[in-house]
Amino acid sequence: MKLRKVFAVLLAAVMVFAIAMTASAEEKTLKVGVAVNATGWFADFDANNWEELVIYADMLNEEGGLHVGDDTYKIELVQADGQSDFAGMPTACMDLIDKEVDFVIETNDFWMVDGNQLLKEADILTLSCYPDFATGFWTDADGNVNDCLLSCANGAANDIVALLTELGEMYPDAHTVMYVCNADGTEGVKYEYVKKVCEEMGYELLEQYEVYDSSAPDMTAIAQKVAAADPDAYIGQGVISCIGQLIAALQDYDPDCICLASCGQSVEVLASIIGDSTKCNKIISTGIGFDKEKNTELMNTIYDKLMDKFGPETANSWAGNFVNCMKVYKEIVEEIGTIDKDAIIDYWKNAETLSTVYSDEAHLGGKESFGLDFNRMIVNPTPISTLDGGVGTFLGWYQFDVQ
Amino acid sequence: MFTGTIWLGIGVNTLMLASMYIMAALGFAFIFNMLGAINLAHGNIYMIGAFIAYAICYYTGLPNWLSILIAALITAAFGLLLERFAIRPFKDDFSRIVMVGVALMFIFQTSATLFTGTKTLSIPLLAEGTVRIGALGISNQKIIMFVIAVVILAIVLFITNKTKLGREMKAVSQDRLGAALQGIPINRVAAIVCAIGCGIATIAGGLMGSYQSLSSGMGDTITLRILMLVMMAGAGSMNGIIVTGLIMGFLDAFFPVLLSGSLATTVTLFVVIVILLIRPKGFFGHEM
Repeated sequence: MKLRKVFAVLLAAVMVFAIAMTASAEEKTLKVGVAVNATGWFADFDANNWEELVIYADMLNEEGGLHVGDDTYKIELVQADGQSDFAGMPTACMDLIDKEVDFVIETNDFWMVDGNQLLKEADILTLSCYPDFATGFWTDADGNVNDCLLSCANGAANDIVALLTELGEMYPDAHTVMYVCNADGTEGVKYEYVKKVCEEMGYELLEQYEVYDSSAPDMTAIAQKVAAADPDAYIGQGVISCIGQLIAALQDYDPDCICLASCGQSVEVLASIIGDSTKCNKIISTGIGFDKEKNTELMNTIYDKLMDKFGPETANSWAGNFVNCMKVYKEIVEEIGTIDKDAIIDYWKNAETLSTVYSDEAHLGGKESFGLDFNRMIVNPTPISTLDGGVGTFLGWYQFDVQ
Repeated sequence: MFTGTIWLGIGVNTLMLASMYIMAALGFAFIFNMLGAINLAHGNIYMIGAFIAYAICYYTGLPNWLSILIAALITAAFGLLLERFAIRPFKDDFSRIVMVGVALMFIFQTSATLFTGTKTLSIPLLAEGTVRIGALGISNQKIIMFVIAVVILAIVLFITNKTKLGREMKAVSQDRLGAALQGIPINRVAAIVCAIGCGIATIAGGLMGSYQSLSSGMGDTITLRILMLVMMAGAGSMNGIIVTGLIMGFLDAFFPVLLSGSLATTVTLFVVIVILLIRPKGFFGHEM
């Protein structure tokens, strides 16, 4: 009888202990809002990012989720589709606010200028995947720096420096450069930035620059204007289908002109858009290649999963921008042991390096990175590839010196 | 800025764009001239036909030219159904036929978007390489596209000007009631020309789909060109389509060189509006 009582007490103690352990390691859900253009013309960029993020979130959940202090968080992605419409994205952001997401991963900056104001007012942390010179992006409605907004990449600024650096190494005789970009309202700002970089690197940027309509079916006219201006090289930035058509068209007029392509996808995709292997010449691109020895383990893992799930077209369109944001968030919250927004921002402001999908030790840039008054951003390495004679080569990752 | 090479390039682009616009517009013009019906879905048949050609090429491995041809036959068959169920029942009801056309537009665009997702697709080129004339290179692809278009247009011109079908088409476009009283089977003629028009539009779409990338929006872009082209040509004028096609091709080849992208399109549209204000019946048409 006495022994029975002892066993009963012990059993009760074990049960209480087990319940206590379960309660303290309670599984919670982290609602990750994703402001994305899942449809419309910009879906060319964003849709792949979304699929990669879904794969990464599933991977993290299979590993038990995010381990933040004593808690574990399962990741629940909440997509809000901006429909590639400037009026649609603020509506999408409102939807995320209504769904009480814990933080937001967002698409390129020029879509998010108005949406970020709403998210800031709702006091929601936002991680930008790719800043692209949008005016008013970094400040709130009162003109103050938007502290709720963190950038996990330094976007288009990276590409220009990396491309011109590679141009100098591959084609040392090239001196004059022309700028071609898509019409998204930031053309003037981008041109001024490119001009500054060219001056610092010893290139002459032509005064004339060309802006194309992303929905334009034919880039021949742009090609004619570039050929008439006769630069040694031109920077083609923006929509990959338009850049590919421009490259193909310009080969008819000036086959010696070097193309510096900043269009975010691999040279294999670019070559397929150009379509004619005889026109795939003298191209330097910021496209990612899939040399496993040159890429991080996480990149390779997600690439393989994309290949299994969707096939080579999607896998070779790997971008990693949204995954990068999720990775950065994971690194921070697991380091500091909390998902508190202010603690995250405080850590960000003081960190020197962070582990990202592109680099195990990416530096955080100062406010004056690249001469532009950006808020702190992560200076990721930039992939560089070439396409010549129809053959694509991934050279590797260009690492910046952060000032 | 406008060197000899640039003008030569504009000339080449004019011919290529004009030939594609004319091919795309023919079917629309046929139905409009004969029945007074505006088939707003026609531009998206150009688009969906291109996607069908891509799908055949990609999934069966057939050569691109054969894929385009098969796609043209498929859309031609669809054209018969289109005339029977979407045009004939509403041909005297302008509002309803426009609504049906718009509905079909959305259906086609959504279908294309669902099929492609967000990938950039293109039909393999018909020919690689470039022919050089001085400083200007002309893609072999452009040359082949133009040659194909000329052959098809020659056949169409022969049909419309030298055959019984062509005479029936002209009779119907001039006086539908009179043609019916003369024993011309209007519905059958309409069905045949709709099928031919859809097939030719698909060939144009497939050729452009190999020259550029495919997109679900390419139907909207060509629809605008088709409307302008047909209005400028005027009601009842088949041959006028060729002239206005050349005008449209030139405007789209010249202004983008002179001006930046969106402005060039706007100016082109403005020029067309001015032409229509000056000649409301178009250059070659008659009163409907």
